[in-house]
Amino acid sequence: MTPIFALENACYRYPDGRLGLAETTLEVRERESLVVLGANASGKSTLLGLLGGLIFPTGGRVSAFGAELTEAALEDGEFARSFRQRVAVLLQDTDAMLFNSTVYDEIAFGPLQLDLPGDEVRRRVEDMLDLLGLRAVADQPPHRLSGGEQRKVALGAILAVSPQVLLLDEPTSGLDPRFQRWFVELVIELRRAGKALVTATHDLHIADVIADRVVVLDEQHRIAAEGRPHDILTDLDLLLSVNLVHEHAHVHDGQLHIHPHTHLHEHEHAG
Amino acid sequence: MLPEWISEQTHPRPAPIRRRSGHLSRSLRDMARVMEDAIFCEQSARRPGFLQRLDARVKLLSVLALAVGATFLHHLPSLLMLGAFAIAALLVSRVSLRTVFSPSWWVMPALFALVAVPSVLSVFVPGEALIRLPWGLSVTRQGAASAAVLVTRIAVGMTLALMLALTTRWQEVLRAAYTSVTAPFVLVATMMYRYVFVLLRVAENMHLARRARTIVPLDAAQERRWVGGRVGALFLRSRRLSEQVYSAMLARGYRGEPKVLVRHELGVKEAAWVLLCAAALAGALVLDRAVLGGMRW
Repeated sequence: MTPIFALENACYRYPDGRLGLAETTLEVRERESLVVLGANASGKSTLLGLLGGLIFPTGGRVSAFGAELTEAALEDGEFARSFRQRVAVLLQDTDAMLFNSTVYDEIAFGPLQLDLPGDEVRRRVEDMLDLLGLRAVADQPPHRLSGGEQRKVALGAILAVSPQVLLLDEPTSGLDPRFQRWFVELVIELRRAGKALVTATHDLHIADVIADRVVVLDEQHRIAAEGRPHDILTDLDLLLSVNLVHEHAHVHDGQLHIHPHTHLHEHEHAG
Repeated sequence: MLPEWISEQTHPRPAPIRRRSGHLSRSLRDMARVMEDAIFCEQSARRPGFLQRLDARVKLLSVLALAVGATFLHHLPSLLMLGAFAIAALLVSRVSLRTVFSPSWWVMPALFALVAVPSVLSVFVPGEALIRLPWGLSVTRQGAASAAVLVTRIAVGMTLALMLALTTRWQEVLRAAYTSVTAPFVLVATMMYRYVFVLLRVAENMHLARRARTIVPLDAAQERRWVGGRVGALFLRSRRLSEQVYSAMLARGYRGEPKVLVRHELGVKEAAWVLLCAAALAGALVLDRAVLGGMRW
């Protein structure tokens, strides 16, 4: 598959000198679902920020659709418009995502900024309200909704521009199982529609269900492993070393028993 | 392993409760009340009443027209007539008198009444004495009338403002104000309204978290230091949030010039409301000029 994003030794340091992402080389291909796994502060959000053109590498290079992604390139109106139309970013902080006064305006914001005609914007908003089951709350302020509904509005807001790639930062974090199941079904639909997805998460279950390929970031902000979900998610030593599973201690027949703990796969306990 | 001291049961006996309500607690309580009031206004604006169903643009312009009209009225009965019209419209819109005449309604008229107190005296407004006071002073009919007109005008203005606030959601007011020229200002106002509540919630949570961990009440100096520290923390939080909001806007194609979808619908009820307002204002002006103009008040 053709790469739509390419990172070549790209790294990022914050203005105060802290490392956000160590030198990273990575490709994101068309129509694939890539899951970026990592513990808190491992650099997942930084990686998505670089792919989404929200921050720019302090070393190395990031390319999107064959062109280098730089601040200067995104100052070019035409390039910026085509890039934003193709790449949508869901930020982790829903408070930051939802800044409009109603759900309707929130969903309409993206298509309007991309200069779509009013009738087309209305059609997309109406379709999103139906798809996400938000019609009853269309005129309500997004921040008054429940956590799951807010996340749906944020997803609707980015889907309304019909992007080619979705960059999703912890999309299911802190939300209940029903939302997680709904999200997985949505991702399956989006995959059928030919969208590429890059999902940053530390939720191994989601990774197992939605990923074609998994990239694991360690706590030194480097890629620790890359591969098929099954290979990554069954490598408990790897997951333990990058702080994605923990060692679980309990007692069987008076004997202390310690093993890596994940909710992904069953394991047998010696009696 | 837990340290040993954590298992020791050496908690002191519950101490007698001392009532103490600091300035900080009061301020945060007041801030929380602002949030509640805003939410309450939203609830009232969601009721299925006459004014709630009107287009916000029409309501905004009609309230402005009535408020400007009130400044041309110089007699109590005509002002009261306009006030009665506003109250009737609110009652028809399922807003109770108790909601209208809440403590916040009284603040402005009371303040202006205080300011107007000297103007009732003969030294400032000479005229026919109504009440005689010591030292040759008196309350004059003309002074009392002008003070009453001033206070009533403010009260009518407050009622008109509430007519908009209690029947229109803030986002509708903002949307009504959206034009290609005002879009940047309205977007900023929208965000201010939105994020003031986010930051209020953060401030309240910080205070609650501290209270949950405070064993001995802090003295005034410590409390001031704590408040100063939290103001700084809130500032940093608001800065970080503003950067993230800007990122979210950029990611959705924002390029420095907000574009908005204007969704206004004008119909028969809007036309009827405009006619009612025009009739009420014209009636009050005729009463004020033609009927009461020559009368002594």
